[in-house]
Amino acid sequence: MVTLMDLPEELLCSICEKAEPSTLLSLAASCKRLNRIAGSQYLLFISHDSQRPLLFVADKETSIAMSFNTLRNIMSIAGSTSRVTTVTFQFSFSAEKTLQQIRLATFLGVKSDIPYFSPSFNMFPSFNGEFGRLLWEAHRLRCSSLTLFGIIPFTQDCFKFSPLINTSLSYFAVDAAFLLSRAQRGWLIELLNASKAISHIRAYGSEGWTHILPKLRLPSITGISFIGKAVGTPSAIEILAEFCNRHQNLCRIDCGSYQSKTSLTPCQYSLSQMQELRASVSQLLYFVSDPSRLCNLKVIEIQCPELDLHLPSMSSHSTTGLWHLFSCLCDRPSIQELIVPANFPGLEKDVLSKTQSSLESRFIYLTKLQFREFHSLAEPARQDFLKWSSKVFPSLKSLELAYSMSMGWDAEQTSCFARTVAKELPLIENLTLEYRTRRVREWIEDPLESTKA
Amino acid sequence: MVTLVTSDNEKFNAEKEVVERSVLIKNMLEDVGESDQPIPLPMFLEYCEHHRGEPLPAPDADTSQDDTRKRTTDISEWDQKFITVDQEMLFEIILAANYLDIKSLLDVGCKTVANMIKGKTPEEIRKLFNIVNDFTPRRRCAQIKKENEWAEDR
Repeated sequence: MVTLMDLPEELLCSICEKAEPSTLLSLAASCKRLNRIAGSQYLLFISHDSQRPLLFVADKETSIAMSFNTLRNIMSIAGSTSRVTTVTFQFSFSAEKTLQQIRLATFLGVKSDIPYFSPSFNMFPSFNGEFGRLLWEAHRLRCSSLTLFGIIPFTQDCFKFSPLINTSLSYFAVDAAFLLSRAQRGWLIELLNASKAISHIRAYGSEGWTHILPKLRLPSITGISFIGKAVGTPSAIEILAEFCNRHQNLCRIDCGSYQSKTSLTPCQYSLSQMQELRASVSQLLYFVSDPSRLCNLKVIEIQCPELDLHLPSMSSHSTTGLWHLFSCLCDRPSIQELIVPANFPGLEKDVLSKTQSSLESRFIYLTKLQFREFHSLAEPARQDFLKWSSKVFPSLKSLELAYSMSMGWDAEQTSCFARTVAKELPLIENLTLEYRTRRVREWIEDPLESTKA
Repeated sequence: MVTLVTSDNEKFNAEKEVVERSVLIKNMLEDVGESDQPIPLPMFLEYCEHHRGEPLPAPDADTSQDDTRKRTTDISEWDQKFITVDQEMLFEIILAANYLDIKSLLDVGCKTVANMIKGKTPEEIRKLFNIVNDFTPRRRCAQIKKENEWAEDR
């Protein structure tokens, strides 16, 4: 007797082509062979590409991503979403629904190695339980990256969570200030201390970190970034330095943009492991004004002070600090790359009027220079910056112009600028424009890269 | 007139125009010309008789799948009656339509199967077609489904 399962593959495919999506789901769940045939037909129907990162959101109305229902359907076919590279949860506005969504997330982990877990929260009552459950899921799914965004509405009770040792989490990012408040920060300290593989922490502005850092023991940490004014008091930078001193693998730090108005006592730790440092002028001076500190620094990025501190009366003060920093840095042979914001308050004025302090330091070792926000300079000022660079950075081999807005140059302007670079800085080999690095000669001869190799 | 012989040696006479609805037979006739060569035959003459004269789908019809094979399960009244047979016969027809390359009959057969499955749960489908559930328990969709009844609106 002939049965459905006796039909050859191509006929089962033909039947699946005629079936409705919901029917395909039932078929896919009936046995392995139909799972493969009906399942792939369904995935084709919803244009699912298992190679593509997936973004799942709760609300059907949101057009940017698939709904949780679709996620569930894919899971019911695939059995797990182990091939999915990114899952971003944006939980629902309704507490009840969110709870169900978290339960759904449980199923992600049938055999899961989801490397990225990034829930975003919105206000709803009795949050603590669900949040704890979510952290537990992140742990159970062995995700390597955890990002917490949004307002985290802890209820009045203290959030209690006892994390287990985990060896998967390597990246942790948080932007929720309330998370770090006095009553709530305990669990975070425990979570990080239990994360034995953590290598990078990224945090947005909160003074809570000055209370958290002293309690952290993270032997595997290699980088830490604070965005904005996170390290926002004079003592905060000392707490950060103490943290760095305790963590000898930590070689990249980003201190944010807090500009201290009072000068700081120079750093008392040697921090010889440090390779990359991004900070405001006052923070950088704290670290490098003593030449014996951070003696292996390779990359330095100067951060612009926050705009609200940028009062007209401060602009001269700002460059005083900048030129002092230059004098501290220029004799350090380890430094290979310097990143300077072209829109640093007062810098353009000093460069154009060729003030003495702007020309005092000579970086004889530095080979790579990057100007950020170069588009903010007027056309003549750009040439002055090149002239100034030739005097202050005589050994430059690469120059990069980075900008948040395109320069909008045509071929002629690009070629002309490259010619000026060649004239003013004859040692330059590589020039990076619009995120492309090429030989200066190539920029001059073929600015639009029309003859591709 | 063409004489068709089934594998159990029954003979059927039919007009050439009728049997040529099967692309397989059409090609065979073209290849051998006038011949006494018997052609194997399952049940399809009635179907072809009814549809005689209708234009055959173009050979490259598959390329325009969007129009010809769109997810429609509509079946004409006559075809509906014709295909109202038991399961075994239905799959025999599908196999034969596939072998004899009669696209419209194959379509009707596949649509009928799709209609049979419509709205059924995996368990009902298994019962209907005698399918053995070979999933390991954890993979079973039913379990996921049970835990997530909130998401029923698809």
